[in-house]
Amino acid sequence: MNGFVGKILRVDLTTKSITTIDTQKYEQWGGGHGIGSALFWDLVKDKRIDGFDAKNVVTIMTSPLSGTLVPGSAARTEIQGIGVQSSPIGWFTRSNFGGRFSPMLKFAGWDGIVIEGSADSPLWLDIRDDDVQLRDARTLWGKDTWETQQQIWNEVGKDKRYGGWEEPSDDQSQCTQRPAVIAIGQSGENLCRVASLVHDAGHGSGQGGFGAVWGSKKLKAVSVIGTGNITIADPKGLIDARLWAKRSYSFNVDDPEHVKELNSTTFSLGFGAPALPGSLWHRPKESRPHACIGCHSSCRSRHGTGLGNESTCATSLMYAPLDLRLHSGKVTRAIFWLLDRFGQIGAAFGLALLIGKQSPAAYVASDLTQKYGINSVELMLGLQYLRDLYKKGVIGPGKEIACDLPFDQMGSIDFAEKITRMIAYREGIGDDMAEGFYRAAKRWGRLEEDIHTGLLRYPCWGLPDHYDARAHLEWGYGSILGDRDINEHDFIFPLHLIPCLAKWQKKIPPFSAQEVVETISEKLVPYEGDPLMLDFSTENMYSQHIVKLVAWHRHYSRFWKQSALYCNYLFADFCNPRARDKKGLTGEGEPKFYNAVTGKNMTFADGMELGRKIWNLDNAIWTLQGRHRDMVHFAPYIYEVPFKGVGSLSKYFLPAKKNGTWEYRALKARQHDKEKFEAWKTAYYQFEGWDPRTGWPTRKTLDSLGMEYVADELQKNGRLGSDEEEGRS
Amino acid sequence: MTCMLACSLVHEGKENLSLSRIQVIQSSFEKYPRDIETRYVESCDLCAETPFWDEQGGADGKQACVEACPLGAVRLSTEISTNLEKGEGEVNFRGEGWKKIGYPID
Repeated sequence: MNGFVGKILRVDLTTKSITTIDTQKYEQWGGGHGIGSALFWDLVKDKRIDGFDAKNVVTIMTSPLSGTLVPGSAARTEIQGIGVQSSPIGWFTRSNFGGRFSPMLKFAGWDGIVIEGSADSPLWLDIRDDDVQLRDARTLWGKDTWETQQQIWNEVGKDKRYGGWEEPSDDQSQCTQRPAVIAIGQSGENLCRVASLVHDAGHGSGQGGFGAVWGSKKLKAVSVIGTGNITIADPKGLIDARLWAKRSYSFNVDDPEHVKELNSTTFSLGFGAPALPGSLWHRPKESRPHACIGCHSSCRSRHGTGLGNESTCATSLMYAPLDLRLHSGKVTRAIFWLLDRFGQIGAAFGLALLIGKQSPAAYVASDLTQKYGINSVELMLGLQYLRDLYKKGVIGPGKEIACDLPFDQMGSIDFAEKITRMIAYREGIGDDMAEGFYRAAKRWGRLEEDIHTGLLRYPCWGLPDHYDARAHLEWGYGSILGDRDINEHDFIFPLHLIPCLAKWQKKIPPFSAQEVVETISEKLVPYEGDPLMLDFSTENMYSQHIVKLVAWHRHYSRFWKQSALYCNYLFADFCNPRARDKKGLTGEGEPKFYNAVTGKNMTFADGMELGRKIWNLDNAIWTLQGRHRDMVHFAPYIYEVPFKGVGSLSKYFLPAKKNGTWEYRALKARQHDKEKFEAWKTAYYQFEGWDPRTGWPTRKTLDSLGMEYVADELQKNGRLGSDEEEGRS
Repeated sequence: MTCMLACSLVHEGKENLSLSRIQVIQSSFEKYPRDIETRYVESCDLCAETPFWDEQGGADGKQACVEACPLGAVRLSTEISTNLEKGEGEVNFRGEGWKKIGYPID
């Protein structure tokens, strides 16, 4: 049981009972998501319940690597349960965040937490090593996530063993640290389907609406602090592996060569990235990098102003473009206007970031979403939708959608304060937006039109767009076959973003298309050696090669990223400019660290196979929830409206092969073909060993994975796939 | 906090923040630079005795926290920082590389 600490905390909010589950029973699932799915399977007897049902179970899982020196894996926490954000129903889903929570949970002696039931008045869970208490949260209810966390810090800090340790002593049961707290804000309390869970200033579990699920359970926060040990099978192996990864694959800011390389031609994302935040706004000059516990990179920052601390990626991108539009000078605004007319939103934003003027509004808006606990991706896409509706004259005072928001001041602090408050407290049309913008469009009578034209960019399961399904095949297929926007950047960085950033600036990409394809295809175990898995051309988008690509991605993510909990931002490490041969550590690195911690002898392929098993279990859960292949469709605009790219003047590059030569091809505008996608789905289901008529798992496949009991349950419910129809190719 | 995990690992063969000789405490909500507080305990042996690390430690050798820190934020120095003597500020280890990637170094 090295790496694991041996027990999972089980809390029933209805009965207030606190019990434990032996981790050993679930160890075979490897950690994180695998254990979460297995626990959910066992504890939720009727999988058809709604996410707001008290019988819904939320799991909070760590991995054996949490709290250890493994780079980019020590701090991830996996949340699972039936969500409330997706449509037509809330699928069993997942979300994941970093920071300090999972290490602290392990130090307290817990591999995870299972939350069941629903309280009749607000509670918070107080974990101090083995001492676990449900406490009255009535004084916290109504407070935002930051106030809640700090009030809990103060409460726990009264116990001088926790945070008050000043002098060295032999007593190990003390620490200097503050508790790690996950909290919901007013948005969660008011059951907004866009409510997130927030930890520290900017670490959040946004997708799925778990903030609202906690709100329905009257669970305001979970706090943990611990002083215990995590045993490591091979401590020497672990420190050596860590220093190997640092020496051979990581950015060194004190190495002039690394710094010299760091220009647009070798722009670095992923494992070899420098300590630069992934925030997309004007980073305040007075700042420092911020990393999750144990991470060798730093994708966030804290600032001299204290505004925007720890927010990154979508939370920064959510409001910065509006801020720049409002506060930049005439020239920048004219460029915005021109590029807008040609649909070049991305180019306009990139240019504005370079030459535009930004106010504090972008930081304030991000802080507001963190404090209220609002999913910033929903709001990012929602703000774009609202702006378009405003420009069409559909929304505003006295309009079809009546609302007194100051749309002419989008980008201001005032607008940000008003709209986030409206959502969190469900005021006015905020009550609609709190349902998510897909449901809001339905309430406003606009869904039918806007989901066909693509004005509402919600491609899969009524959830907001990210990387477009018409271009990024593994992203689109992975999302529609699963439960949510996958948010897995494995192929995005090396195949798309890095070459695009170089080519948009008329520079040479650090890796040629051929180098990238050859390097990555070697690493796609067990389907290695098939470069056409990375051909994103229109001719190849429904091929068996893409079936294999999507299967590889689903299996890799389910185990290595969501169960072993390697960070999505850093893994997979396919191509790495820091490595001598430019090949990343994926394939070698994942099992090296996992085995050093656990003492197991897992190969990379073993992890892939376990990922396949977990993916099958998830599909069995969705099947019991009511899924059938006939439901597995993109939104209409994905089939009806060509994607033109959001980058610089439609030069939206992905690798493709032409006449035997690989190139980064500027994809022509394209949409999906519904009939071809149906045929592709059939091929995918067959490849997974599922029934192509239904998409349901089959007994043969489940038995081969050691999940006879899952097949039995599916059969009992009349939802077991037919073995006759599947045929794994 | 990589330094804390490295310290605990090489000395004790276990991961535990409470076993680290260097203690870093963070506050997410504070303004930089007050968001991080660092404390030390006197039992730091500069990795002279590390049963779980094969490197030679001590003042003339390597220290696990220094080797593991990804940002070069921990170093062994024989000089007391002027700022620390005054009881204010922090030791500044940010060199030219930091400036080139856009962080202040003064």
